[in-house]
Amino acid sequence: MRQRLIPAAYALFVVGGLLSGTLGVHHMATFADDAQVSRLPKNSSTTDHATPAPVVQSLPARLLVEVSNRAPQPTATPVAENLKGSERWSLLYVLGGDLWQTTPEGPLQLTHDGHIGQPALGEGALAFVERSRNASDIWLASADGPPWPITRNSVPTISQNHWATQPAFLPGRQRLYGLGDFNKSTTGVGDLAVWELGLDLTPPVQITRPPAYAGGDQDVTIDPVDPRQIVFTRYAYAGSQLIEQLQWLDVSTDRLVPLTPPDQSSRQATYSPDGTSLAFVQRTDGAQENLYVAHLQLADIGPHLEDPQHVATGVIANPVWCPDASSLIYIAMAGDRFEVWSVDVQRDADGAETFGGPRQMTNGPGVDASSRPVCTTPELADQVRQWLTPAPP
Amino acid sequence: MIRVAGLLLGVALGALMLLFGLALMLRLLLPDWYAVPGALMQMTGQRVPAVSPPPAPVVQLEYDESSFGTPDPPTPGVRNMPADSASPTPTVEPANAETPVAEVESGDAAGTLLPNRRFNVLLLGSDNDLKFSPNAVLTQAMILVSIDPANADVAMISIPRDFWVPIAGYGNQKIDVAYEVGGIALARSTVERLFGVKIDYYAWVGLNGLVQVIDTLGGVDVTVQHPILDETYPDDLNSTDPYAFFRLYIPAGPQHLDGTTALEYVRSRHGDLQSDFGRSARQQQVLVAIKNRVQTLSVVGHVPRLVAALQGSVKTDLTLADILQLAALAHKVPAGSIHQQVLAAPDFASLGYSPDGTQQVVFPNWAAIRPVVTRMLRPASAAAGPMSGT
Repeated sequence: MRQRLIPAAYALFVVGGLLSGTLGVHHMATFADDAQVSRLPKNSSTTDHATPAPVVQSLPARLLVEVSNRAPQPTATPVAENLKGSERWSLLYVLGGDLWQTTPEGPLQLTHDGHIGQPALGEGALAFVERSRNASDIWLASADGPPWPITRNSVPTISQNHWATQPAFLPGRQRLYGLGDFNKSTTGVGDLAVWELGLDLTPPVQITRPPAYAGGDQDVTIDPVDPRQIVFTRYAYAGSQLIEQLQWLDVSTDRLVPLTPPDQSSRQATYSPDGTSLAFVQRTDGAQENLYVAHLQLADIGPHLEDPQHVATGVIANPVWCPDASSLIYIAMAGDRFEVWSVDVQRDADGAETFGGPRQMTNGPGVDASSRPVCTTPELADQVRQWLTPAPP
Repeated sequence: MIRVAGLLLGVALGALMLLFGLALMLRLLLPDWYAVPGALMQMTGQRVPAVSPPPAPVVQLEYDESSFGTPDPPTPGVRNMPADSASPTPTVEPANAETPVAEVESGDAAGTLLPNRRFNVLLLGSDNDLKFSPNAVLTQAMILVSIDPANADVAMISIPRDFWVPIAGYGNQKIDVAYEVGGIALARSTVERLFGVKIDYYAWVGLNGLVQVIDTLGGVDVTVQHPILDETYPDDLNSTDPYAFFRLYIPAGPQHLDGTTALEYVRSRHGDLQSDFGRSARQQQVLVAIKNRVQTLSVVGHVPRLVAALQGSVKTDLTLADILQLAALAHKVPAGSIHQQVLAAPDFASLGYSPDGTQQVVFPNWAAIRPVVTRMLRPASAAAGPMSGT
């Protein structure tokens, strides 16, 4: 009996070992294959050399996974359905240097230029900026004919070129304000200031005078009730500290009053349609910005802001109002791209405003955050599309 | 005799196979058993969670629906109104001169390939266009980045390129000359000696390198603090005329910058009211933007492609594995743990001329610089209060 058991146990031991060992070897081999692709050499050399590329090329394709949190691809979602009363408003915005329009059927591309920005709507006209490598000009589109420039870089010398940007219409459509460096060649000051521009290529008139060689002006917005009054952002350095303040200016008297303190970076103010409130962006903490709406009071102690209401937080740019002040439109991050957002605004009998939650209005590959969007009626937006045909050069 | 040898061989073979079998069982029952030692497995990015954490959420607007209409939203600073009491006031704590610089063991760093302690990387950037010999370029950007992996803390110190300092073998020179005359070795030793820190790694990037880095990441999101207006920005990128120029205008505000525009943003100097100091601050801003961008992307998916695209445009002693780990580390570093400092005048330097009067230079104020360097490079847990920003 014992003589039979020993060979049997021996055979079982050898066969079992071979079987389990084979499985183990197979598994280890598979695992080694997995790890092989990442067995990158650790280079401890401190010599001046380029990072070894062949290592990269040896990585298997399955490790080259795509973006894990990638933003959704552009869709034809009728984004305007997010806007309260979508049949009432249409948004104009800039994407990839071209003007787009929201429609209930989806976003509609209005231009195919690639160098357009800063749209502004006036009475029966659209102003926008056409940018080239060394200069930019403000163009106008209306029912009067093909779009035409109201500023013109006619000097071939690069150093004589100018920037004209951020147009804003005065009431009517005969004149507008915009930023420019039109006196650069005579003063040597290259920072931008607010200028008044006519539609007839008459020489621009300087409206604001930032401190020479210390700062400049931007983001002009015009009081819709009394267009002699404007608000703009003035930036300047005090030592090594950058100061960004909202400034109120009575153009008729040159009375200039800062609306925000120097230790709070404030910019991109925009008047409400009735001229009583300002929406603006203020940076209060590191990289985060806050969108506020505050009442602009002119009486008593002089122009100042009261009752600031916090609207939104994030990386925020270029707030604008819809024509009846029922919505505030602005640009902010949606994932890893900039999109147009909206909040509903309700105002009680005392003028106090309350704000709804933010809603994303565009869902494309990301809008140009440096261009103000425009909120208008679908009818006017359709007219804009007609004015822009044929597209500007 | 032969029979005995056969028996022994069978026993040995069986035992060996059984060991493999046991290994298989351990593998199945204890899947992490293989992953403990670290380096090899961590590089796979597959089995060690500490090295390939789940992707951070895409940066979202911090909308809190409940905050609308509540009494405690941040109050904006508005003239004639009470100041915002919640606004951070940068405070500078007293410097502790005895705190060792960059030699503090910072504890468990989850077994990375990078040093298991705070380590320092010297970032260098050069105009390497046709105006210069490829092997003798100045460093327009010089940033000391100190990383504490255990505490997910990062400090960035920009060293002005015009710092007038002693360079071994060359007397007093602008610090940007060190790399030109002595390559990375001299640039590295100069910074180590002047700042009292050990440089563990370096990375040099040329013009096209930065463009490629940012384009490969799909661009970066930056809030431009004030318009960048430069009447004579060098038009030398991929140009046949190294002295050509064009006019540059980057408007203020948040925007998405592609690689070329980001390069223009960090390189422009002529129109900045703070000149080279302002440029240094912009360079740090874009570095943070790159870090933020990496945070939203799949690290493993992009870094290899990035490194492949950078041949010749970047020089570094970081390996691909190191870069992958740095990218993974970026996921863990919150914005509030990135401390930035530009050694700008008047606090940290004074402007003047070289002794022969031929060069405008920046004289460092070491009495002010060293305490700040010491404080920024100590472990995060030892630092009380916020660091001073730029």
